Amino acid sequence: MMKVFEASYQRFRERLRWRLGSDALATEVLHETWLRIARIDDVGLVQQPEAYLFRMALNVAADQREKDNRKLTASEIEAIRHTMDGALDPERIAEARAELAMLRAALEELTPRRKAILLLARLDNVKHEEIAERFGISPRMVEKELLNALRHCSNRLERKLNRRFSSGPRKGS
Amino acid sequence: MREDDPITPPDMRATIKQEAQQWLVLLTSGRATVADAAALKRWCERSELHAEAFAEANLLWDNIASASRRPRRAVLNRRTILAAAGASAAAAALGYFVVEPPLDLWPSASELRADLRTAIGERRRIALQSGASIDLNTRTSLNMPHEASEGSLELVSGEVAIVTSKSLDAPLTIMAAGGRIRAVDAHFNVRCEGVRATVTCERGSVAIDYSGNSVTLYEGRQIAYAQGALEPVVAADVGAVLAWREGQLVFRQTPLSEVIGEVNRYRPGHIMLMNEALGRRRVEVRLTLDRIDDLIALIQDVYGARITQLPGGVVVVS
Repeated sequence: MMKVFEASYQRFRERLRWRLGSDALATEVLHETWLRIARIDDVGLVQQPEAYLFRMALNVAADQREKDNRKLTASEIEAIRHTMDGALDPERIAEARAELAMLRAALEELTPRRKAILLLARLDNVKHEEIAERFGISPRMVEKELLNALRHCSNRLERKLNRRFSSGPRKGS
Repeated sequence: MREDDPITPPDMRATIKQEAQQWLVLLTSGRATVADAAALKRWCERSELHAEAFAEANLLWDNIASASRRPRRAVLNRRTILAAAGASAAAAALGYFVVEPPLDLWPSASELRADLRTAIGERRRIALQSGASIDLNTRTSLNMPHEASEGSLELVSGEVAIVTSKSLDAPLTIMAAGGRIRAVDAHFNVRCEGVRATVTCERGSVAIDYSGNSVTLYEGRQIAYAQGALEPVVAADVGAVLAWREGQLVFRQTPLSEVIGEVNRYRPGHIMLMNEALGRRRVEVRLTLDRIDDLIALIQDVYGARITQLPGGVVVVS
């Protein structure tokens, strides 16, 4: 079975690339298929090994797609959000916490709708789709409002920081 | 802010920053998938600058929550809430109502399917349609019942105090750290820290299933579980465990290091204890959550410790 697989590898790869629309994905699927074959102790009698293997590769692709399309849970999102925290200095985090008053002022400057959308998304974790429905706008618009709100807040905080550090010693990155 | 970097042009920084914010918005949109998470990971790995930009975006996201924390409002009459929320059939089907409206502008039922989260120092009370009520303590994430969880609540992290009543049709179920906790007519507290959960029963009884074992917890008892094992049931100082609900923290003959660890859960910033001998001192103290920094003054006055206040709520005790 392994031999058949190896012999048909290039052909499989091309067919899969055509089916899946990506060479990287095709290679990944073939790799996983190869692992699955290696795990099977006894495949029994297979009439058409090549067709059998290709069917197997398609199943792997389908599983992969299903796995990839699964929605993240709230706890997963929270964990992902903090995966890169190590990239920041602890002082930076402390400093940002000290700027809450500034951030509060920046939030007050948002248009009422933008602020409301931000708070619904942030504090109440309402899905964009639901926010969109509530305001009678498209989810795309919700996203745009959120990005504008974030940009406004971060720009406001940055301006203040730049002033404060303009003459201080610099750290390399 | 490192605009001093000689290599990266400022407009590229701006682009990376904007992309990081776009990723954050996608991630929290309610439609992010496993594939998105993988793509985001690859994006962050492109350079240190990317990783930092994503961390910055999340820092802002965290701080927006703290900056816009709403003052605690009086709990509304349940009838009013039911009437107001009655408009949403979907909400009714889900069987719970958030008592405190999230916004002055939109005190409506749209957040009903959302998971609840409290910021540092925040407490919030919600009422379930079944008649149960839940208090969320500081830094708590709670997932509401939905079909996938078979009607069970999920305490992701933090602490909740739950009051259920006899009138429930079915036991209230809450999952925490891999364990299932069920109660019909009980008052109890659940605290979840990573993979460890502690359940304290104030009134009635609570059934706990964890890792193939079951135990029933009665009034005044406490049990913890972690790493596949239920720990022994112990007698609990229920008043101290649940004092947070009244905005108090009560410690009885507790080592100061533990007191500080607990206070750090409620306080933005961090109290760092640099004096080990001081950390072992046992203290008897009652703190009001609204004035939690009283502890710092207390350590200074009573134990003569040296206190250094740094920006961002960081306090060094030595």
